[in-house]
Amino acid sequence: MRRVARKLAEDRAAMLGLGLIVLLVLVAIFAPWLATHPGDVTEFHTARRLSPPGPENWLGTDRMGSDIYSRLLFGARITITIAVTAIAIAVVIGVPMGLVAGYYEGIGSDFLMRVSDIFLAVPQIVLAIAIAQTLGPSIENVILALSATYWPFWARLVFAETRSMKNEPFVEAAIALGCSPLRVMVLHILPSISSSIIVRTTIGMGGTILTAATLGFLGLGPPPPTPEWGRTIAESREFLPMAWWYAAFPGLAIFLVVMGFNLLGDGLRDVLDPRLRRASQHGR
Amino acid sequence: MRKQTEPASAADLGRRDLLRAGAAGAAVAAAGLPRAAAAQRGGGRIVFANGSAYDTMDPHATFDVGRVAYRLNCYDSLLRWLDNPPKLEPWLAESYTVSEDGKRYTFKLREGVKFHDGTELTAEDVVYSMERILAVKKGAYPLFATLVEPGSTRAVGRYAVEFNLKAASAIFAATTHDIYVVNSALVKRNERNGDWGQEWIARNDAGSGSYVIRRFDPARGFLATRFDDHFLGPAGVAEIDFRYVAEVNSRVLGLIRGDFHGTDPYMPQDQIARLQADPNLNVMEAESTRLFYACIHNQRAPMTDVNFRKALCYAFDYDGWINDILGKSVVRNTHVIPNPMWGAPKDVAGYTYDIDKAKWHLSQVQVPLREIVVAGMVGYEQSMQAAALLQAGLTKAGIQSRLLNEPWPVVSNKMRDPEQMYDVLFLWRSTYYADPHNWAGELLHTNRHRGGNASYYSNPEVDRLLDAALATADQEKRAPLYEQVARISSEEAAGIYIHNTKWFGPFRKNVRGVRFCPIGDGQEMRWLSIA
Repeated sequence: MRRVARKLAEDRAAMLGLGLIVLLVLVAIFAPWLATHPGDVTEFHTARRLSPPGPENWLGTDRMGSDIYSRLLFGARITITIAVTAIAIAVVIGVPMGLVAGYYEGIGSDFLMRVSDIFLAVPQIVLAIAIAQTLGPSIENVILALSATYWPFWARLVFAETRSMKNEPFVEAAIALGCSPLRVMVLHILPSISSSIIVRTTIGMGGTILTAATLGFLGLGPPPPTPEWGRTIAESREFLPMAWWYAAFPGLAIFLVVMGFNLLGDGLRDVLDPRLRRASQHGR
Repeated sequence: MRKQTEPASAADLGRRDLLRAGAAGAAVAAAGLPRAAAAQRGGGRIVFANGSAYDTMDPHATFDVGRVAYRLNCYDSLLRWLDNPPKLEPWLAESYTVSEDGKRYTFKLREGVKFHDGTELTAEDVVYSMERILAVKKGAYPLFATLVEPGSTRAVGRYAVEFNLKAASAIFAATTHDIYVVNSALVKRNERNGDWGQEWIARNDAGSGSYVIRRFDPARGFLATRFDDHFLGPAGVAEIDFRYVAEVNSRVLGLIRGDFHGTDPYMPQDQIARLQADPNLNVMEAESTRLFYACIHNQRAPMTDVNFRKALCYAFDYDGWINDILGKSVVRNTHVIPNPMWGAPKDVAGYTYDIDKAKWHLSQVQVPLREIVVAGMVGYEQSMQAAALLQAGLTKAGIQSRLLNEPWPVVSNKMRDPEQMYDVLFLWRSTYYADPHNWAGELLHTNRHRGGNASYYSNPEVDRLLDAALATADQEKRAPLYEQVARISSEEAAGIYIHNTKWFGPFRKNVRGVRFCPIGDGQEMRWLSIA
């Protein structure tokens, strides 16, 4: 573990990504103290609407005169809530499903994988839009839509890894020693495939945030006045190009966070992925 | 759709088009130009960017300003509203007479009016069109539902039509603007299973109007070419191309670049200001009669309680809305009838933004409170912004609310159903006929429930006043009745009445002859020419 941390620390891009994510988390936690106008999440000051960035409103104001900087900070909370919850649900559904389907062979396992194939066959964003549209705009429904469309990725990944692990000598040894299937799956197979899951999860976070913002942009995210980033950009379209700050800063926020997760995910993969690791040891 | 040669591909418009239009020479547009002048008519094409989608070409299926263009330009009606202030002018009908009891209207038609396929427009076509409106039950149907019995309209000879109303109605002639006459022989040929040709006419042309529909695609809009045999003579511009352009910025940029010649003004005032600053554009301005208001569902708790409705009225920041968000481009309208219209009372103080008063009225509410749904219309920025502004006020007053923005076709369907209607909905009431009844009557009378009166407001006294106002044709007698209705509905907070709209018509400078009329919002293209 320490070796992993040290190798990761050497990867500048990954550290930049980690820094961005830590920043996002800190911003989300301390939003009420960092915000210059914490009340502006629900309050409007129509006389100040669409003012450019300046000393009073650092990143300008929106169509209702609310402070964009403050709303961005509170928006980070929503982004994290949506992304973490949706991914957590997807992992909780996908990983056990992949483990079971990979470990056992037969109709049951085939059935589970065909179900995940069906989900994967439809473009994810289209499915998420359909689900969110049917259920109506709210945070809960966005989370539901995202997790319902994301779990097959983990199921597929874990299935493939489990299948290949099953024939490894250490697994065969555990089975020969009389370990229960549950014990083999959880204590022997899962730890050895955990690195793949971690990498997939980190990179998946970026994608989830992007999809959540897309849903917000399309009006399927949490309803106003929630300061959701995607919806803020959607609102700003009507005031472009005059109020450039209205679209630019939420866009920048989404860009930085997604980039943060992707950089960290790439770095983690370089360090954790056993195949890549082996390749580098062979001096390729 | 009939197969016709497409005059030009839709993709190649732009500066080239403007040059071509310019070379074709200017044409002067005027009503009733003699046919001899036809030869001098200009060519050219007007491309108009419309923020609302056209989902049908059936003239009897829609009744809104967003989709008015094909009704006005491709179909004709008995009488037509023109100019501002609006005047009711003879159109297909040369004149009309009313019987003593005010129940029988006889319209004398022009002779020799041709449909686009060359057949003559006769009284039978008018009768068929009236029956069709009553049967299809869409669009302008609510205007005639309580007044005209199916089968009661008769053709008197070839060129006269007799309408036999159930009761005298001071507004009947005013609403004949919306009896668009279809080619009955053609529609009948295309009827399927007694559907009054609905499936067919939704995509095809059966009119006599100034332009012939050549191409229609709900995703793109419609293209129509000049009808040279129109009874008023051919129109000024050879082709009109109404494009559905959803994004405000695309409409504005297209207009600035010269891809479009005109667009509708449903956009934030900030964009209107941007258009006004452009040297190539001419943003026309006119005082209109178009009420912006919030429709409150009066028959669903807690809005059944007048104190709750008053709390809603006190929670809207009228000054912030008019002065800041709309940049003082409009004036406050404290009651249901637009200020410039006769019958609008001058003594209704209305409501102000006063959270303390809102809280006080809230404390008087007798029914249980709950979270209410405040709705706006997707694509109509002002209605979504107003909904957000009301929500901020409601939060301060202690009323829980949820915002919901939905597209107009969804909204208009929900308005017709008291179960589905939103708690509060921000929208406009445009002019369909220049009479106070267009607002007071259509929005408040009990007999307009499920058809115009989406607030489901019902007050026997208001109904009585409105009925009395329809029973006489004398404006002197009618005006005080409407004033009284406006006062009562303000006192009872039937809706949140906000402002009367000013019309802004953004056009390229080379477009001449725009004739604005509040009915149709200046979208009748036959008067236009391109210099």
